[in-house]
Amino acid sequence: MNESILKQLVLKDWRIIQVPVLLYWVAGAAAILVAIVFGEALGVLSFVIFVFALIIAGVHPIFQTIVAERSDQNLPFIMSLPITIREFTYAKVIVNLAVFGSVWLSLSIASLIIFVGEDGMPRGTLPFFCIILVTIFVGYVIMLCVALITETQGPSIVASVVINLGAQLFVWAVADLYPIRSVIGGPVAIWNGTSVGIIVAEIAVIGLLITATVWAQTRKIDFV
Amino acid sequence: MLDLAIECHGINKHYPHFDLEDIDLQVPAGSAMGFVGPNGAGKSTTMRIIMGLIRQDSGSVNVLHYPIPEQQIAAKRDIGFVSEDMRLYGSRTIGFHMDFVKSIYESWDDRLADDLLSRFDLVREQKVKGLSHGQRVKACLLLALARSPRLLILDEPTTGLDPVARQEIMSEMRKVLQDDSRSILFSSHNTLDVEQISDHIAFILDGRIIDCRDTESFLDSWRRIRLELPDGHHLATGDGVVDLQCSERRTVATTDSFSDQLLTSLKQHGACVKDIERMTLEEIFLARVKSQQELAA
Repeated sequence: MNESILKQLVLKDWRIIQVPVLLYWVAGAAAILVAIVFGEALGVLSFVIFVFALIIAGVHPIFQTIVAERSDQNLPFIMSLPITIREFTYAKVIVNLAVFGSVWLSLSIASLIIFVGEDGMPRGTLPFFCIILVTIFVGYVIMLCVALITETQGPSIVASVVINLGAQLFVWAVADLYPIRSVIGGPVAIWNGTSVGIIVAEIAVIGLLITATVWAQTRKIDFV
Repeated sequence: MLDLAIECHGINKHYPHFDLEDIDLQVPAGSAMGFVGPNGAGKSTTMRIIMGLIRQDSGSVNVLHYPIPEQQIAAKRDIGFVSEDMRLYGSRTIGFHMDFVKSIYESWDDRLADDLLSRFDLVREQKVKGLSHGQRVKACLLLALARSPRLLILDEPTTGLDPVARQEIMSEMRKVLQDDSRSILFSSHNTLDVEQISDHIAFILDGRIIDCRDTESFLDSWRRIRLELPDGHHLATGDGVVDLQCSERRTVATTDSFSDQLLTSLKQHGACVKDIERMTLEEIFLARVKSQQELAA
């Protein structure tokens, strides 16, 4: 692995997506600001903007750096350079995870402080709220993996729609689980086995998906 | 021993609707090979295999003495590749691409890059999406040339270009060939371009190389011979005659192995040779394709 080339590939993709990503981050931050200023009055609106900003901050870079690279026929240019498929794949994973990860992390921390803070939702909501945040990350990783493997628009769009619906169903199902439901409105955050187990399982799924995708991708023999 | 920039032996690649079969290709170092064939003949597939962009099912490929695809990264450090379907990032400037390629290649030459920018009439700050087709090809060529690769692989670089842009590209290719250590493999529909610049020519049809020779012997061995045959005399194809067009009094024979012996043989068949014409590469190519298709039929 040539680290210098990996760095150049990551920087190249970052330069291509940095403006929209910063705009989405600003939108997410604005949502949190709305929640601070207007409190419960605009709570739903700020939450919707927040989730939308998070999702779009993930989807746009994936489509721009992976799917569009093939559909816009940039791949013959990139792969004609002395770049291994391993460096190419690592660069895509790094830039996308770093971009989404930083947006997700900063907005998640801010939202946790605001939504589950002194004047926000009851503290008992905290575990469930964390499950929602990690679920968003899992959905993002599935989308990233589908895009990396297929590099085409159709499956990537289908994946994003299915993940969107699937994530909502999953969250509803989790909210309906007794160990979660029973503590959700309480004044204290209770991290029981169910909530911790779900988060640990989701993190394991993230790790597994990324490892499997990189493994499969680096075995590709045709690049255009 | 002849130093080869590209050496392919028995390359096969199967697709559901197309097969590349038994491709043998040798490009001597310091020379240019023109790769000629109709659309869908397998030119791009062959070039992509040579570049390691797709893997052959069987057969061996060596580029600059590196086996492909195994050591494609080492080979690509010395190859400049431009293909007709290659696109740069539309939302970015030419300068962005120059900086990116420069960061990959130590051999990038800033002075040469600036010189090419001015010769190609390109502006560093220009966004790629605003470029014409000709400017786009020139930008791709600039990115390939500014690192002085030992081998240029150009897939249809002049297709769709106006005569001025085409000449600019051809002129750059000639400059590359002034250096004896540098080689070019390029495909083109424009046989005039190929004829002008190639030391060797390969014809490809339906996934097979049907002819591969040095340009001079190609042009020297093909002739169109106008004959008059006495009544009752007939000629047939074979023995060097690949095509015959017969009218009432005149017969036009096309040969791919012109020699004094052939003329003697024609005369022995009672033919009176009226005229002998040299053929252009395009005419040779069309005649070769026709004879190949007749053979296949």
